[in-house]
Amino acid sequence: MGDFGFFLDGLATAMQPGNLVFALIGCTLGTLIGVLPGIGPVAGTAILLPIAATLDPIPAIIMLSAIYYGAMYGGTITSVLMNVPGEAASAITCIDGHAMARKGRGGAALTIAALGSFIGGTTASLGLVFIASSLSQLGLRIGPPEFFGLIMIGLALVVGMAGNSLPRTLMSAVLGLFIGMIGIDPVMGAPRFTFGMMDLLDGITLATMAMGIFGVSEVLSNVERQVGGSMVTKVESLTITRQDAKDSAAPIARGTLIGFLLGIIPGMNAVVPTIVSYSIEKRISKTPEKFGTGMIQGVAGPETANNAHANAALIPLFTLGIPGSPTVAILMGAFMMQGLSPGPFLFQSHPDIAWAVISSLVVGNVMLLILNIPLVPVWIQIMRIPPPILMTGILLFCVIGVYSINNNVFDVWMLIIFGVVGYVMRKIDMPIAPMVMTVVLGPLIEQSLRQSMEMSSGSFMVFTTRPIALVFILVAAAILVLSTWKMVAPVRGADSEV
Amino acid sequence: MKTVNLITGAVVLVLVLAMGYEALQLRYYTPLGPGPGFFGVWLAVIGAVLAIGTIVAAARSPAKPLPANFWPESAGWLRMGGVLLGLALLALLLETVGYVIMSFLFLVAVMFVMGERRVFVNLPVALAGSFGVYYLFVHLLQTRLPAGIFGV
Repeated sequence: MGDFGFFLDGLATAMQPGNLVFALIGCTLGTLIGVLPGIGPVAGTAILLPIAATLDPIPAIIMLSAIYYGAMYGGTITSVLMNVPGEAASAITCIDGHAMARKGRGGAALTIAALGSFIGGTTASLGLVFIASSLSQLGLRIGPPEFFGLIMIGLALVVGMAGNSLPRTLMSAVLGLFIGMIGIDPVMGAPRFTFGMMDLLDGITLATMAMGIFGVSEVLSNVERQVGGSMVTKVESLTITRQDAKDSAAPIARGTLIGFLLGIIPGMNAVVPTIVSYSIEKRISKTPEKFGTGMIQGVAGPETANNAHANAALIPLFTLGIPGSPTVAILMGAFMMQGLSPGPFLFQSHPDIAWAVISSLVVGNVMLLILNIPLVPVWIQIMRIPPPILMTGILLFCVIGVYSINNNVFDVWMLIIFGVVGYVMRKIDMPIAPMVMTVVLGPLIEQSLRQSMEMSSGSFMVFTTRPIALVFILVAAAILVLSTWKMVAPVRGADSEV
Repeated sequence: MKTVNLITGAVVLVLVLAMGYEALQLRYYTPLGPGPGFFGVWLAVIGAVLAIGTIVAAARSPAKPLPANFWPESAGWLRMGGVLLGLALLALLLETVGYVIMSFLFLVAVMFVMGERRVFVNLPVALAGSFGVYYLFVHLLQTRLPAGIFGV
């Protein structure tokens, strides 16, 4: 019996009423966990691990997996409606998703996010079924030099996002790179830029920074004017239009590919696919200047990439026994608590469990779509809450969210500081997105560069002798040159204010 | 915006120079490649070039008035100050006084500052946001929120 036959057997198991109930519980809890700022999928999955240990293997792992990809969608809800990312991978959605909500199109944003998440997640799950073995071999060929090249492409795309002011974009990116370096040096373990403060040894978490720079600064920007009325001028139809579907189709397809390919690389941060997707959508758009004002492509692409990555990140776990992310590591723990060893041998020793869990991913993505699309009108009511109550609630949730990361009030102070920084950046028209993106990309670039150099005993030739790495670096260089040329060439000879 | 751009460039310059100085205290290069200070030094150089370029461009540009609504009105400053003061007090006293009491006071005060002064709205929302959220996070989600000296 081939893989497809095993998949069908697994599907029959996953569709049993008891297992369906646990998938539904997982999807619901996952969405709730994603909505609550600060309680990310890692914490949520870890909290429920003891409960899962009391269940049989199949329902336990089905439920935990559903929490994992359910949380990816849940984080979108607060990103769109409140400009507060529910979890780090949804931070990019704040940019255009919330702008859509302010125009009364929050329902359309959430609907397209749900559809894109479904398509991306299901495609990645089917990829796990049919081509996991081949893809895992590709993933194994990605070492530090190739990783460096990939992340350089991401950085080049961030630069390419600069609108009218390249210097401001670059300054924002440089500041983000510095912020990402705060803490312990990833290779030699030396403290850096901590200024003697113990609390900075762990660095500044992306969640804290994102909640401050998006959420708190949004509140400050709102209260400087008269607070009153509703946060949206009107609420239009909650469904997507034909034009929305047409505009979203290609970004969803690209987001699926981006999220899937990056998901199979062990260690690839969940935020990176969303950054790459957003950057590409802006780069190839005919109206890039409109990104940030409520472009549906800026929601469709990243949200699809987000869920595609979440499902594809399970491929290294199932095929190689390598957890590609902290949440997947928790899932691996769930396997081991049940006496199972994820990896290629799982398919031989417990094929019924392996294929049931894989099939449940497909079922779970369908369930997530069915669960969340009807709830969009419910979520959208959040925007009707009077602004003083809504904004105060946002502030309190941000505080709870950052405090619960490390149980450290220092993170709350960082939240306030980044809130002020975000407010000032909005005032002086310095883009925020590059800073947030480079906080993620910077440590990855540095670590992969230095690991590559150690592999080659200090020789830069490692990037030229490995073909995949060389191709990635050349692509990054080409993107950078083209982007810079496009920005510099039109203003030659014209007066330009910085 | 000329003055704003000048100040922006100056602030960024000071920040990157400070970070660059810190980076110089670290090891720049090792026999196996870049050390902990390598990236910091080069980022400081790039940041300084950008900042100086911003300052020079701003100095050469003609002075233009700021947009009409650039600065908030005095009421806006008061609201922002109230919000930031509320957040600062929350951070300062959260672990000492405890989540429930501090969040209740925070919600009441900040909603008041933002203009929600109806007691029959303000108090129930504050109660739900303090006691209700405490129950959700601590008892249902098993997440720790500070209890403070009063035990709540």
